[in-house]
Amino acid sequence: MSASRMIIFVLRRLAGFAVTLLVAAVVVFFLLDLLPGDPAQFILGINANPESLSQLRAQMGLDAPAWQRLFIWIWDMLHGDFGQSYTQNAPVAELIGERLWVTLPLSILAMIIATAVGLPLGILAARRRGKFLDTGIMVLAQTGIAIPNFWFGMLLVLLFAVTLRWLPPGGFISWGEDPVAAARALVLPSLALALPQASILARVMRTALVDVQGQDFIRTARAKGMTMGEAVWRHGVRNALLPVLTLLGLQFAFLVAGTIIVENVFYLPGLGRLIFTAISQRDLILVRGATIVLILAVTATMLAIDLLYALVDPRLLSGARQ
Amino acid sequence: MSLLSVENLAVHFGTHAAVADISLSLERGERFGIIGESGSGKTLTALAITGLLPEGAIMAGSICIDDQPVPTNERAMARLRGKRIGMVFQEPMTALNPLMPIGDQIGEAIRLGDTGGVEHIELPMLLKEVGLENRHGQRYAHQLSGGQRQRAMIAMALASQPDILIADEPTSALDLITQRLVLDLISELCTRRQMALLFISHDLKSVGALCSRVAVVHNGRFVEVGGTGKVFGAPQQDYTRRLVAAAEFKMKPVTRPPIGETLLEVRGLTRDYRQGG
Repeated sequence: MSASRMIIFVLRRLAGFAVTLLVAAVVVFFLLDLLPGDPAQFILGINANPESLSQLRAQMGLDAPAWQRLFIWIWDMLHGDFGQSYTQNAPVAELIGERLWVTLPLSILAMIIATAVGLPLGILAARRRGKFLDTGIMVLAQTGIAIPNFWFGMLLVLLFAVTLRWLPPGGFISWGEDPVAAARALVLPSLALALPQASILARVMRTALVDVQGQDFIRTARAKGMTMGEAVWRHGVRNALLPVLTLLGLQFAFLVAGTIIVENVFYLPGLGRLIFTAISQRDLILVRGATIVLILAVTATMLAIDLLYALVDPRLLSGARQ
Repeated sequence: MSLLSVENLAVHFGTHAAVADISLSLERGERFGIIGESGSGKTLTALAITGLLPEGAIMAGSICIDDQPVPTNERAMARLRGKRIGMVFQEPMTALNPLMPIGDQIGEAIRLGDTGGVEHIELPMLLKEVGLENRHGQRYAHQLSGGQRQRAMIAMALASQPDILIADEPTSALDLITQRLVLDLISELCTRRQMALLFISHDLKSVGALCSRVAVVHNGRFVEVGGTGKVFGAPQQDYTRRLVAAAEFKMKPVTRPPIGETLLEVRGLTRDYRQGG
C-alpha cells in the first residue's frame, strides 16, 4: 500500500467533509430564514410598536441582506463565535458547550453498551444458528427493536430508581460539582438508548457472520487445521465487521442527534432539550448553532468511519473492492 | 498398508444421495485422479475425506489414514487435516482471506501444521518453493494475479509437509498458460516431496498429464477405475466413452449460412477502472 494513495484518500475524505459542512450550513441558514416567526416580534410581544421593532431588528442585524448575514454567520463560526442567544442572553457557543458535556458522554456510553452487548450476542447467535440460543437471542432482539426507548427508560426508572433505589430517577449534577453523581445520572438513560441499538447490532452481526461462515476462505482456514469456531474467530469476525462498521457510524450519529426524548424522560440538560426549547422560543441563532454542531458531530463520525474502513479493508485504497 | 483408504463412502442430503458406494485407496507418492462433470460428487468426495462437508450433509462409510479411522471429534479431525493433508481449491480469490496479507495466512498454516519435528518450515522457503518472492508475502489477495494466488494456496497446503495433497479443480479459474504452470508446479512438488496426490478435475488432459490412476465418477458413483492410459485409451463404460469423445477437440469444416448485414459494431471501445473514492 503506497503512502501517497493513503494521503490522497484522506485528503479527498477531508475535502468531502468540508464541502458537506458548508452545504449544510447554507441549507440550515436559509431554511430557518424562511420560517415564519420574527424573533424581534417574539421578544417584544405582539403589542410592540413598529419603531421599537425595527430598532431591535437593526440591533440584532436582521435587516441586512440574507447572503451577507450568512457570510458573517459562517465567518464568525469559523472563529468560534456562534453569536448571542436572544432568549438566554448568553453566548450560543457556551450554551452548546455546556449541553454537549451531557449529550456526548450519554451517546458514547450508550454506544459502548450497545456494542459490548450487541456484537457478542450476534456472534453467539450466528455460531448456534438454528439452535435454541439463536432463536432466543433473536426474539429478544426483535423485542428490543420494538420497545420504544422512552418507555423502556420509564421501566428502568421504576425498577432501579423507585424500587431498588440504586440510581437517581432523573436530573443531572454537573461534572465539576460531583463527577460520580454525574456519571450515575447517565447510567439509566444510556441503557434506555442502548437497548434498540444493541438489538439492531446483534441482528446485523448475526447475519453478517452467517454469510461469512459460508465463504471459501473459512473452508481454507479449516483445511489448514482449524475447527469451525477457530476459523470464524480468526477469519470470519473481521470480515463480518465490515458491514457492521457502517451501521455503528449511523447509530452513533442517530444517538447524538436523537437523544431528545430520552433527555426529556430523565430531565437531562442535553443538546436535544436545548434545541427543543430554542425552537419553541424562536431563538433562531441558538437553533442554527446547535443544528450545525449536530451536523458537525454526524459528519465527523462518518469521516472517522470512512478512515477506519481504509485501515480495515486494504481493498478500498486500491479501488479494487468487489 | 494404504496411506488413505476409503470404503463405501456415501453422502446424503436428506433423502437425496449425492455420493454413493465410493471406495478408493491411495498409496504413498501415488497420484490418483477423480474425473467427472460438475455436480457429479467429486468435490463432495474430497470434502468428506477431509471432514469439511457442508452443514446438513450426512456421511456413511469408512475413511482411514494409515489404517487408522479418521477421528470423529471436530478438533482432532481439524488437527489431523492440518498436519497430514494439504488442500488446494478451485477459486483462489475467494479461498484467500481478503483482509489478511497472504504471508500471514501461510504463516498460520505453518504454525497449525507444525508437527514438532526437527525440520523447521519457514515462510521465505515456502514462497520460493512455489515460485513466489518474499515481497509477495506482504500483499493481499487482490494485489496478486490468479496464478500467484493459486501459488500462495499451494504454499499454504505445503506448509505442514503433508503426506496427501488434495487439489480440487486447482486450475479451472486460471487461463491456459497459467494452468500449465500450476499443474507443472503441483507435479514437481509431489515428486520432490513424495506426496500422494488426489486430483479432482473435469479436464481429461490435466488428469492424463498428472495421474497414474483415475476414477470416473458419474451421478455420485465411480463408474470406472483403473490406470489412466487404460481408462482413457480403451474406456469400458458408456459414460467414460462419451466423456473421452467430448474431450476430443477437432476443427470440423462446417457449412455455415452466408454472413448477413452487420448486427453489432464496436469502435474504439475503452474500459477504464477508475479508482474508487
